[in-house]
Amino acid sequence: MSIAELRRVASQRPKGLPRAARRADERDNKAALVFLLPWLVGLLGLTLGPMLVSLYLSFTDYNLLQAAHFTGLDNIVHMVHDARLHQSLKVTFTYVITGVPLQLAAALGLALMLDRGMRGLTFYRSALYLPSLLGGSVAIAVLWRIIFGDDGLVNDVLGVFGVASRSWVGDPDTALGTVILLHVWTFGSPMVIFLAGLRQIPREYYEAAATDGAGPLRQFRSITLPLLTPMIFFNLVLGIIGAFQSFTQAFVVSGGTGGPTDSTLFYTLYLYQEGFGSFRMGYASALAWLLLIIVGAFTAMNFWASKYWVFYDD
Amino acid sequence: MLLKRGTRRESVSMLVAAALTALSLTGCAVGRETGPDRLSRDRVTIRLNWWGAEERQKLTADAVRLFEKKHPRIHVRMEYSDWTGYWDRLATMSAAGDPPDVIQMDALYLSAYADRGALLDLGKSKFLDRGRLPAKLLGTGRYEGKLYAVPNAVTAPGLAVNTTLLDKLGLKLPDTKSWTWSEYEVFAAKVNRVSGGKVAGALPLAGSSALELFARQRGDRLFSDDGHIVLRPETLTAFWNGADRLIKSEATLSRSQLADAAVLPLDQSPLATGKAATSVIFASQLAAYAAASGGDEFILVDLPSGEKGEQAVDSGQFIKPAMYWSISAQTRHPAESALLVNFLTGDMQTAKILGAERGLPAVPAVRAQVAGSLSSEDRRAAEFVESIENKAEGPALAIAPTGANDVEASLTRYGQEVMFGRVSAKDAARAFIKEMADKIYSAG
Repeated sequence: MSIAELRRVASQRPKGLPRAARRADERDNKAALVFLLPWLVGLLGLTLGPMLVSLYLSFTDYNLLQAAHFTGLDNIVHMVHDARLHQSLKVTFTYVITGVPLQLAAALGLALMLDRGMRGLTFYRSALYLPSLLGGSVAIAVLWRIIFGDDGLVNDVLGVFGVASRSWVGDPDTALGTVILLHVWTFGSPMVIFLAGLRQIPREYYEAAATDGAGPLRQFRSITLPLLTPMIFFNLVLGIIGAFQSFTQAFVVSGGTGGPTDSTLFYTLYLYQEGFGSFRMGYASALAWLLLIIVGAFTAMNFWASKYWVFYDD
Repeated sequence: MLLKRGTRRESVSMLVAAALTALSLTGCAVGRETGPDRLSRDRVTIRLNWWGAEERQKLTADAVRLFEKKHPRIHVRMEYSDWTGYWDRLATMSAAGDPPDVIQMDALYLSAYADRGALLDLGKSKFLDRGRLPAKLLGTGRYEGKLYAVPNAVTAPGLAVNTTLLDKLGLKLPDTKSWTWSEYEVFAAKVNRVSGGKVAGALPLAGSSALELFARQRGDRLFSDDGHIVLRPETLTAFWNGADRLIKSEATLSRSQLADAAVLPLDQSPLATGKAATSVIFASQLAAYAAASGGDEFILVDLPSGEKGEQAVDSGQFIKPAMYWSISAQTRHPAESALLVNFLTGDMQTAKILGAERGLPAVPAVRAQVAGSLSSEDRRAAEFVESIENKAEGPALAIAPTGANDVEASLTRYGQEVMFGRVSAKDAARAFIKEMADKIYSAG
């Protein structure tokens, strides 16, 4: 049965059913509501409610300690002139635009390597997936700080080649790079998805291509890549949304400051500083909504653009 | 799931109702009345909140146990975290309408909380002995005339010197009684040279207290008593130029090392790990640095003042309340909370337990009680602070104005912009002062 058919059947109202059947139907509905309740309570109490409150607070001067006063568009006007907000946008866009594609490229490369049907695949897959589980954690961010710090491993290795010691997280030119690298390192989730995608490509395509004399590069470009575009699209959308919301790594690596010289001032970090550090929760709420709009716009753009490059083979 | 029409409409109205409930719930959080100012006959629990490390946790727990023994009806629940997390937590708990009863407070945040009605006026509490504190010191806990915080201990910025390190290098500290900034810089560069770049002779002045001291030497101040930023741009320019001179003359660490060190906790800081031989610290931190260094000997000396062979008229040194105790305006037990504050600041038996871990006790009688049992670093710190108390000329330190509680972060940020050559010291000084003034204005 096709999806369209299913939908049609599903939308048919149970008119003319015997009364007993209708009662059973009502009972089902009630049961469904009861089962949904835990989720519903969570959605309303923990997501939707606070979101509505935060939307209201966006137009106030709420300072956490006193009742909020409506200030109209003051917060939005302030955004236009807020140099630190602009800096945080610059940092976050740099992070998203370089970090996400690099991470996907790394994930795809490793997935291609693992797809060769080597021995001990499960082990390698798990080992390579591990950073994804750890990467968002505070512990790894602390480790990162140490590795790229003044006495860190990176300096020890570079020292062998005679490169002068420096603190990579303490230099405004390289600090953001270390955080991007941390992001790239957590390629596990997209890699597993790519791996599943690669497994779905029928072998016959490659056999036919090989018979026609296509080399590995040609096969990759004309078979693997086009058939993998739905996976790339999926990873890209999720990757961009996730990257815009990055917080932990930047917070730990910069000690919560976004420094040096605001070079790692991620959007969410600035929002956090304004809200909890400087008691400007009204402004922070407005910033949160701006982020939602930006992420929404990026996602919508992605879906629109997907028409032109994503290929579904069905 | 096949929802029928009626049910769907119902669920929409449920949704709206739930959202409204959530809205009103958050509304409830603001503004709980203070309880009556008398001791309860029932058993009560009050929450005590502070920042600090492990050592403080042990000592405070002992002191609290003693308090509970003397007041069996009062149970004290302790909550603590490190400095950074402390303020985020306190802000969140306060916003949620669930602030702790007794709050360890700092001069940076006092006005931020007092101005917004989050703290209790302690000026009239029957359970608090205010008379035992020197008037000038007690005044540092006032905001707009009302006493919102009781100074618990005092400290003062001073120059810590790792003498073990200097001995190893075979270097002798110049006469610090009458030294100038240029003498200090020359000495610091010598430390770098002799150690082959392994030990920095100095760390650039950083932070609002060092800036305050530097400003006072020039007849200037950071904040005024009535809550404005009054710092002259020339002072701040000179402050950052001093840091620049240290870097250029290789008397300190590299730029990226300094930026890195700016966010390190005390026990990993360059002074504690032997990467730097001298640094401006608070006297109360001397024991912690000595402990973190693994047994090196540290002394405290006066900061240099003036340039080129001539000392400044004012040494700039000042006493700062190391921390205060405040009570939440939303407490249900103001009497019991005041009793606890009174106990922690003035009880003689507690004094023996707490020692000088939070700084040199503010109450003179307590200080005398503690004096005999101090460790050698704490004794040195106590002597240093007392020597400044005796000679400090300037006005008491003004608490940070409302809206300026993030002054440290802004100062670091602009300082780094200057250090990495992104802007000139002069422009950064102007921008910093403007930013602070704007923040103070918009919070007022």
